Amino acid sequence: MKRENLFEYIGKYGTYLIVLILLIVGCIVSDKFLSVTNIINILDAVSYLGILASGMALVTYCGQSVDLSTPSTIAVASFVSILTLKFGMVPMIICTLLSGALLGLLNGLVIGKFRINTVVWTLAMSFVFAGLIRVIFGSANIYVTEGNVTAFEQISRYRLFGTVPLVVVVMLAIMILLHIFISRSRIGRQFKLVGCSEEVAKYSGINVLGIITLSFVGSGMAAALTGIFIASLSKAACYNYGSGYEFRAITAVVLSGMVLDEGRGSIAGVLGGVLAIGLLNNIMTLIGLNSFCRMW
Amino acid sequence: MGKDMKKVWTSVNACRIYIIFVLVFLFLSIFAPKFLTAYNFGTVLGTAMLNGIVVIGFTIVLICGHLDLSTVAIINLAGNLAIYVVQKTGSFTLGIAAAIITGIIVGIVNGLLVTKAKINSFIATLGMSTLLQGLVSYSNNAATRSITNFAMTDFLDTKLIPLVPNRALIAILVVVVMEIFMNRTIIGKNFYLVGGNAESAWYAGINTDRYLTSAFALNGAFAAFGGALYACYLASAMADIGSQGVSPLNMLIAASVLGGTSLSGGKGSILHSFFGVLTLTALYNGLTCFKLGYEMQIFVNGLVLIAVVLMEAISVYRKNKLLGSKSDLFA
Repeated sequence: MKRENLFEYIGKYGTYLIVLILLIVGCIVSDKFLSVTNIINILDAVSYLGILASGMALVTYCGQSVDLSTPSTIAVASFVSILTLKFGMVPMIICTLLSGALLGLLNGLVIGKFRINTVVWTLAMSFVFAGLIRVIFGSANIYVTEGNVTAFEQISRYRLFGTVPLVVVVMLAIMILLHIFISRSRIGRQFKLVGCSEEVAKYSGINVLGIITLSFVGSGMAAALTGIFIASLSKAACYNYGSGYEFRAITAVVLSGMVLDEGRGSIAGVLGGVLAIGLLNNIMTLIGLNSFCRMW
Repeated sequence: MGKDMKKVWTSVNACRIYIIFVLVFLFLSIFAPKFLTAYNFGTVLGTAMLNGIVVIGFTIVLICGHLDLSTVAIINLAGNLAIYVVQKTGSFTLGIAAAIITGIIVGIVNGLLVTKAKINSFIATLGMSTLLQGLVSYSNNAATRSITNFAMTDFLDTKLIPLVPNRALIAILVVVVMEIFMNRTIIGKNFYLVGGNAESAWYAGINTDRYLTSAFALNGAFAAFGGALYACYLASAMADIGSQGVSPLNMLIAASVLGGTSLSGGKGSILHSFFGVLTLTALYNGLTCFKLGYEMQIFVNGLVLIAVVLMEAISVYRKNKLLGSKSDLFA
């Protein structure tokens, strides 16, 4: 194999190489590693991150570097989900996803129209909405009291067939759908072209503003979905629920082989990146490293 | 618009930060209770010390067209290191020197990652930030390091010149020196060239890689200096010493952009950035005078950042439209 081909190959599937190596290391380190419970635990632990990262990957994929407003979108979504629970489960989910989509729409329109530095704009948005929530609710948590409380709690606790958590199924479903959407559909291919070269995309008659906006809306909705799961898990909403998630999601996206300025990589790669993070954390727990080491 | 009007507008735009500063200051002096007192004036200047020093390096990196996200982590590392060295040796000079040297080394590594390894500066500095933050948290187990020698605190708190605490005096001196360095020396001016157009700078015989690396090194040095000085002033350091009050990263970006630093590089002024920090610090201080809490500060900080970034973007958008080019083609 030629040298260049090898590099390309590693760039494309490198994340699964890491996953494979980590799997082997895990088997050596502990005999409990390859049990069904542990594997499901790993998946369960990374599923929130996986949902978020697959949304963020859309933004990276169409060349807009990263969406740093996700933490506040998660926080906003957790509040919206608990506040709208009294109208029933389905309206709650619709309202929450809509709130995420609206935040994404705002980000996408402004960034797409005025070509603002994505990092700075999304960071600013993050502060505005995190601040807004803290001002409105006085930095306090709110708890699930009205509406179908048990069903809300079950969202993050329900296990299909008693073993596979619902979150994992949702994550895998989102990733498979997005992967097909990105690699097979017309709009998905347009994402790639916008990511590679906006100029060429523009001259090819692609609605660049629309594609960029769509990517941010996707990221916002993914963050909102994560927000529902986090709120359901803790049965409360808090202003700092999303903090730290954005950088872990970026790590997953970067591990997946997506390059920040170019339309490269795939959603399947994001799953690999997310799995690598989960496996690494799991192995560290099995060895017994303390949590400060894991910040690395 | 006549030609004279245009000239006036350009000159107004060039010194808009002073106008904003004066307006904010006047507004708060008139309306905010107890804002315009000698004690509070010293507080505002003193609070601006950390960010005022750190913003120097941050602006230089922005002038070169990059963003250093590891600044806050360097502040934390430097603060903890300085306190650690003071604990061991008892010498503040050694502590601050060790912190600055570490900061420079971290900055050089950042610079090499960006220039030689060709990693996107955002990712490189983000990784560095996580690494350093993990190191700091791991090394002191989330505990607070403290010293019982308050000589430095007393020194930094005394007022050599009336109204101005020594720590603010240090920040002002450093800012003035660096402003002169950036505007009056060839080396300083070359930073603008590198940020404005790296290619033409290269044709002009400037070693762009070296300038970029030294920009990151300067950022490391000033972040470390600010962090170490702040830790010595507090006589203690914790893992997140840099995130006291409003997140400094957000504050730094807002202050630089408010001061007219362009995020795409090539434009900016250290003095203007420093006034940006002063304006924002005064604003937060004023919010506290109104008895509004930390929540409001975050919110207002975000709003200010959004307003400034949007204003800048719209002016660029209009200018490009006038020139006949479609600005949404060019990132």
